Amino acid sequence: MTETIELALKALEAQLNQPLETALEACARCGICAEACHYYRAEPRVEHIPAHRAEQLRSVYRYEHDFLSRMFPVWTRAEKLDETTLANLTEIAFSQCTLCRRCTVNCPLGVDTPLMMRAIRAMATAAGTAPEILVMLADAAIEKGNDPSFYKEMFLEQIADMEKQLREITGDENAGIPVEKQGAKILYVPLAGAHTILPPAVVFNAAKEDWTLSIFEASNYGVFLADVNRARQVAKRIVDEANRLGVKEIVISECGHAYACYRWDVPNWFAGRFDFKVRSLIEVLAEYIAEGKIKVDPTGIPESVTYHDSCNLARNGGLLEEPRYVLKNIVGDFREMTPNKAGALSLRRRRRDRCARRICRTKNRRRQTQGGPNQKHRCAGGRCCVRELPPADRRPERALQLERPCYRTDGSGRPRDAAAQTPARGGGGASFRRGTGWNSKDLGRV
Amino acid sequence: MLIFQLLAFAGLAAGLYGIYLRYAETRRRALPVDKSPVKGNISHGIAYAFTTGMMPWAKESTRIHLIAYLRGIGFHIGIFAAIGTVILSPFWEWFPPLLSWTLSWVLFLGALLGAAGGLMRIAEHNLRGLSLPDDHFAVWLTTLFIAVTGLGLVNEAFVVPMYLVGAVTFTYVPLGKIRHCLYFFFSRTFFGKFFGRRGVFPHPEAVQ
Repeated sequence: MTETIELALKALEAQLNQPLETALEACARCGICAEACHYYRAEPRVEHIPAHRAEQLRSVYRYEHDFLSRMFPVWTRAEKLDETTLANLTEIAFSQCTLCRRCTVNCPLGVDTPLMMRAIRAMATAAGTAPEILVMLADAAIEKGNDPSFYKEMFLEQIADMEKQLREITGDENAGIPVEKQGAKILYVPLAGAHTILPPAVVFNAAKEDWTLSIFEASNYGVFLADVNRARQVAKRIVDEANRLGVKEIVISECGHAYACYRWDVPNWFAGRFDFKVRSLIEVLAEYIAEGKIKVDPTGIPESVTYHDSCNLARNGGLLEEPRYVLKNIVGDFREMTPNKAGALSLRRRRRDRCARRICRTKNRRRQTQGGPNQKHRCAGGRCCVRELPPADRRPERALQLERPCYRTDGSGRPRDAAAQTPARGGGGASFRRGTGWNSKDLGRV
Repeated sequence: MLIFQLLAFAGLAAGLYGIYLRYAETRRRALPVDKSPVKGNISHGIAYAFTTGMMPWAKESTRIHLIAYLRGIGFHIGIFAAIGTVILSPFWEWFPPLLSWTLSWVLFLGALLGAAGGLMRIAEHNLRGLSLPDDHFAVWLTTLFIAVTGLGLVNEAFVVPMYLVGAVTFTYVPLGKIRHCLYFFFSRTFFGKFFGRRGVFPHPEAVQ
C-alpha cells in the first residue's frame, strides 16, 4: 500500500461517524435519485446517478469494513483502494457533484450522498490528490490572515475609491464604508470584488446601520476541500476580527457556501469562543424592508421575475422566505417556478465543461417555460449559472436577464428616480444603476 | 414440521442478532454534536422525515416515479406481512378465514410487486447499471419468501418451503443489502435532524 492510499484510507477512517456510516449503508440502489441530480438531467448516464457516484466510495468502504464483501468482493463489487480508484473518486467528488443535497431530499431513505462526496474530498486532500488550485487558494487565504498588513494599505485605498463612488450614487456626502470600526454592531464580510461591497454599502448607509467592513473575504476554500483544519484557519481570520472589534453579528455577503460555512460549520469549529450571531445579507435586507429602515419601489421592475433558490441558502440553510420577501417588495410581477432550487455552486470550476453547460441549459429551459423573462439568483453559485449560459441565451434580444436581488434606494432610504432605475437589457439588466460595478462586473462578461 | 419451524425461528434470531451487531457497531461510532444555533425545530424535522416527508407527493422524485414508489411500498408491505405471518405461524389455526384470505392476497400482491422490481433491475438500463449481485439476490430471495409465505397460508404443502426460505432470508438480512431496513431509521433520523435544525423541513415553501 502506497503512502497516498494509506493517507486516504486514514482520512476515511477518521471521518467514519454515525451519519457517514449510515449514508454508506442505507442505500437500496433504487435509482429514484437520478432525476434529482442536475448532472443526470443534463446528461442522463448511469455515472451521473447520485447512487452510482456514492457507490464508488461504498465499494472501498465495503472492502475495508464488510464481512461478506471481504469474503466475496464480487458479490458487492467491493474494491481495494488504489491510485486509479482514488483518482476516479477525486474526479467524482470535485467535478461531478456540487453537494447541493437535492438527491438527499429526493431519496426515500434520505441518504446523504453529499456527505460521502465530502468524505472523498477530505480523503483526496489528505492524500494530496485534491485540485491544486483549491489548495493554493486556501493556503493563500491562510497566509493573508497571518499577515494582513501585506495588502491592507492597498485594500484601504480601494475602499477609499469606492467611498467616492458610494457618495456619487447616494448623493450623501456623509456616506462611508467604515473598516475595522471598533464596537460596530455589524461586521459585513464581502466576497473579493466591488460587486459585493458597494451595493450593500448603499443599503447599510440608507438604513443608517452601525456597520464595518471586514478586511477579509468570505470565501473559504478549505470548505471546498473538506479540510476542516484549513477551513478553520481561514474562518479564524474573521472570527478573530469579529472578536477584536466586539461586533454583535457577522453578516455574510451573497455567497451561499460562505453563509453555510459561517452559519452552520464555524460554531462547531469554534464552540463557545464567540458570542455573535451570523446572518446572510438577504436576512438583513428583508429585515430592513420589513422594519421600514429602507424604502424600496415595488413597481421599480415592471417585468415578471422568478427566483432560483441557491442550494446553500435554501435547501441547506432554510432561507426560503427572506429572498422572496425582498423580491416581492421590489418587483411588480414575481412568479414561482417549480422546481426552484439550485445546485450550481461548483460549476464555476467546470465552466467550459460540456455537462456544466447543459445543466445551465436545462435550468434555463425550466425558467423559460415556467417563469418570467428575468431570473434572480441569490448566491455566487447563481452568478456562475449566468456566466455559464450558452452564448445564444445571453443575447439581449432574448430578453434574458439573470440577476441577483438588487438594492434600489438612495442615500436617504428613498427610491431613486425612475430613469436611474430602469433595468438595462443585455448589459446585465440588474436594477441597480450602472457604474457601481454591480452590473458590468457581474454580467458584462455574459 | 417443528424442526423447520425451529429452523426459521433460529434464522430469525440470527438475523436479529446480526442486525443488533450492526446497530451496536454504528452506535459505537461518534455522533457529531452540532453547536450551531438552531433555526427551525429538530423534533419537527424528525417527525416530518418519518411521516409527511415519506408521502409520495412530498418529493419530486416520487411524484415523477409514482408507480415505482408505490410498487416499492407494496413490496415492503408484503415483506413485513410475510415476516409477521411466519412469526405468527404457530397460531394460524386460530386466524379468522377473512384474515387468512386478506393476508394471502397482500402477500401475493407483495410477491408480484417484488418480482416486478426484480425484473426492472434486469430490464431497466439505469437500475441494471446500479445493481450489484447482492441486490438481485436480495430482491428475488425476498420475493420468493413473500410468495411461499402466501402459498403456505393457503396450502400446507408450502409450509416447509416457507420455513426454509424464511430461515435463509432472515439470516441474510444483516449480511446483504436487506440491512438497509436498519439504516433506514438512522438515515431518516439524521435527515430530520439536519433539515429540521436548519428550518428547511417542515416548511411550506420547501419544494424540491
